[in-house]
Amino acid sequence: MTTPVSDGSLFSAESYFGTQPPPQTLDHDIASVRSFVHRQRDLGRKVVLVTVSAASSVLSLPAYMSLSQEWWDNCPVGAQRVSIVVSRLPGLFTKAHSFPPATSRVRFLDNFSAGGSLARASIVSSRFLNGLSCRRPARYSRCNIRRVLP
Amino acid sequence: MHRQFSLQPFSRHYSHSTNPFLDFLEIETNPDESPKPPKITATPSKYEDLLEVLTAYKSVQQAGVLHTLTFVTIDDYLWLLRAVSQELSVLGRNVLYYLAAAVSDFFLPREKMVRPYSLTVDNL
Repeated sequence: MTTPVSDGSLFSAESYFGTQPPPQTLDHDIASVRSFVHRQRDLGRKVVLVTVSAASSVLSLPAYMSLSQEWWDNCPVGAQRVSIVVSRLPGLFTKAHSFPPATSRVRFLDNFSAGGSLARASIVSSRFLNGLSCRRPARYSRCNIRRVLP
Repeated sequence: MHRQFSLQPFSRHYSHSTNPFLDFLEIETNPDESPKPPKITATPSKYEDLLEVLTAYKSVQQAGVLHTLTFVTIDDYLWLLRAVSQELSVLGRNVLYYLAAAVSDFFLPREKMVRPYSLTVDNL
């Protein structure tokens, strides 16, 4: 099915979904939706789908950072390596309204019971409150890191 | 479905920028120097408000009546919306769609996107 758009061309949903890649988490997201919907159906509940806030239009593909073999061999491994790379990223990769370091690791309300007691998982928060763990969250960066082979 | 990092029900009262939740917590150290880790408690002056929000949040969680999904780009949104709609179709007339997201009125096909300059990092 096609729909006329403002410039006189036609928009085809079939063509759109046939050419644009789905988000990587789509299968995981929909599995949780399916479970939720079936549970509501079994309980005889009605469901409202609400969509809010604004979507971004992506105008360019993600940037890549090239790392030489020499750098790769001499750099610390694991989280420390990622931390070093991310810390060198220019400001344009820092998304506005991202979580500041100390709040990036805990979903606040999930760690309390209604009676006011604190869940075991929240012990993590006492660690970063003491300044023992305060690293820029790499997973919010949109930059891909690609190793350059010799 | 909401944009990633948008304010959400319940937790919106404790946004990380306007009402940081860490300001509502206190650390209680053990006076007897026991090996137990220190406890975290809510600030007394904020306790009542926090308890009200927390009670409602836990109630909704326990009832399983709220399910959230995040999107960032218009592609995420369209793919999710189509897939979620397909799942909701099993409910027949027991579904209401309230599509209030401000999605863009255009998109750039992936094959027409430019790839920005590559960054080279050799001197870290």
